[in-house]
Amino acid sequence: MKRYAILVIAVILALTVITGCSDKKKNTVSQVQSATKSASAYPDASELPHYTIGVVIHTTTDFLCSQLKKYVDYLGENFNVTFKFNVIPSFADDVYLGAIQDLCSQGVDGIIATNFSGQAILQGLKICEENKVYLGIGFSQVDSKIADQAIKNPYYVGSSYEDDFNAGYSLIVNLANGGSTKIAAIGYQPGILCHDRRWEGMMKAFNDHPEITKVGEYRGLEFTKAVENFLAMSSDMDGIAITLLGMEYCSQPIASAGRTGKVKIACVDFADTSAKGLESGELVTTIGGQFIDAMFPFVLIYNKLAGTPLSEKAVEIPVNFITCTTATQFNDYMKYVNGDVFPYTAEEVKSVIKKFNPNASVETLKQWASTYSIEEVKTRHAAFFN
Amino acid sequence: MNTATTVMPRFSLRKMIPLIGLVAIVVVFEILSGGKLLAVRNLKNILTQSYPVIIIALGAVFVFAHGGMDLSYGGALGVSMYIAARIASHGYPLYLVCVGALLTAVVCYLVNGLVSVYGNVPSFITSLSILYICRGILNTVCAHERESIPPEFFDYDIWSIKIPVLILIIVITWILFEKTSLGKSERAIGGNMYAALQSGIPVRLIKIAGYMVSAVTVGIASFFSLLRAGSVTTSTGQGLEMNIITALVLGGVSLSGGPKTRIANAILGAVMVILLRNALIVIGVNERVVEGIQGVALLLLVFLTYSRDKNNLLT
Repeated sequence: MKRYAILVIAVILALTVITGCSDKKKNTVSQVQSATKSASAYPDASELPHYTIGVVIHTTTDFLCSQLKKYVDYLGENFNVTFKFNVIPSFADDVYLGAIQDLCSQGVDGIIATNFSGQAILQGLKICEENKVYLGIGFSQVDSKIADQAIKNPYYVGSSYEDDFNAGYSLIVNLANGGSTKIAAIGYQPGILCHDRRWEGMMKAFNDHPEITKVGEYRGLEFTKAVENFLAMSSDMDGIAITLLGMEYCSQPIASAGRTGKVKIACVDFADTSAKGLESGELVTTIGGQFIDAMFPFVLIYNKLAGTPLSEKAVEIPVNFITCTTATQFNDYMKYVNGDVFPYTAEEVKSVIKKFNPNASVETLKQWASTYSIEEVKTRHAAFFN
Repeated sequence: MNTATTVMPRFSLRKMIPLIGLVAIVVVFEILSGGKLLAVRNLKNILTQSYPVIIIALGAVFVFAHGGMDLSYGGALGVSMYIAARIASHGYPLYLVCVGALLTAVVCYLVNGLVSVYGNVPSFITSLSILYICRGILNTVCAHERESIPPEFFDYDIWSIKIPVLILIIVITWILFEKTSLGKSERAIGGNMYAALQSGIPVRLIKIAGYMVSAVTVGIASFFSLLRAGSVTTSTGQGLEMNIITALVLGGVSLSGGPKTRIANAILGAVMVILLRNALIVIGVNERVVEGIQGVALLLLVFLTYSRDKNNLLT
């Protein structure tokens, strides 16, 4: 029996050590650093105090979130901040609260909770207040019903979010502009604010454009099956609008049904296959680029931790989506926005830290968010690409 | 002298494995985490996260003891929370919100129990169906908007209420299970249903009573989960059933029931399942692989506690 007991402990410890170590591997950001490093006007990471910031997120491996992770890890290297990712298995409120508690137990100084919404934010803030941890929210706007209460909490720094309603709306409109008139709507299962807003936008577009026929709607998790069902159900369907990863879930079933080119796709969230889809015409519109979102709560939290808050009150920052309707646009996105040089380099981000730049302001942050586009990044970073 | 030794309870290391496992987790991870595991704030965290699991596991013992299998916890909890949230959002007082959660859970488990016991449908199938039905209800009613409670209800999510309630539930379920004919009958049915029948135990009634105890605990857990989370979405309660079953197995409850099922096993298992996960996260193990490690731990524990001669757990 002793042998078995030792075996149990040994296996658990071995797995723990292996996985613990693997988590500590950091993305290589040397390329990025070498591309962006120049004579800095601001302190080097080694001269800065060390902070730990937790990130609550549903994945770190898809196209969007892997880039988000890469970006915050890069910021971490340049700000002497360690990011601890808590990958949640579902979007349930108690899962978020558990993740926030776990991060507080790990001793973080701040938390960026992505897609966190609803009344649970108040409970999340209660946990943060008890642990003296700052909370910022990404990809989600705080519900107006609780906004007043949330803003009063000194540990709430604010949120950044995209205009998901209009993104959803434009999916339908752009499909219609591309000639589609019989469109199926597919969305992620209800309960996640950004997807809910995209869905509402899509439904509003159907209402506003009676010339477009909605051939069916599906909200859930089995997207490919839904596409197959719509294809089988409607022989004249010519468009699919989906609130996430359109090429991944729609392209293959459309090809299997022999209707490539006849059924167009419009979706939110960029993917590796977006350029191919846009080039072939299979994908008429794709909207994304929101990985930058995490930088805004990071800046708000860092300023608080540095003792030089940008604002005494929590700040709401609406961030632009990037829309691509051609392969050229998407290739530009990959080169100028999603490449080795991030849309806002560490040097630029340091300029909105009041401790380093007394003129830093919330207005600058808001301006960054509202002007974020491929063209703007391309122009601002022209020196990196010459 | 010989007689005295034969009536002494026999010490079994195998029975102690869940407890040894718990102690081992605490000691090893307390060292690895540099004292973070047993820090006050983390102990509060563990208690918060294990609170609904302990309560539901205490009721689940009554069903598993008679050989029943229940996979409907997550769905029943989600729907109970939804009904309670609806009541709260209409401005009704707190006690009615609690009654709503309890009654909804009772309805779910009445269907679960009646179909299983009187319809002779395997409890595994019935509870799986109830889970799907409840998930379908949640997906429909929360399709457009989450159901939320007024923020002032958060004031009741406090330990001065939750701890006494937890103690009360532990005491009541312990008395019911260990000291009354209900618990003894549940275990007797799990041991040998035909022998229990022949000895005059109203098997069907006792099984239904087991489901009702489980319903009450699910209702109470729903109420407190709602006070904590504040709203209900389509994801509410997802995966809870696996947490409960894992807790029971880790605690040493035999999935085939029987006379050696103990209420303490449920508490032990519920704390272990949350503690192991929490300990792994606190020492910085990637969240993605925590479930995998939990699976390995579960498998090893089952292997260690498996009685080869009787094809059973901890018997």
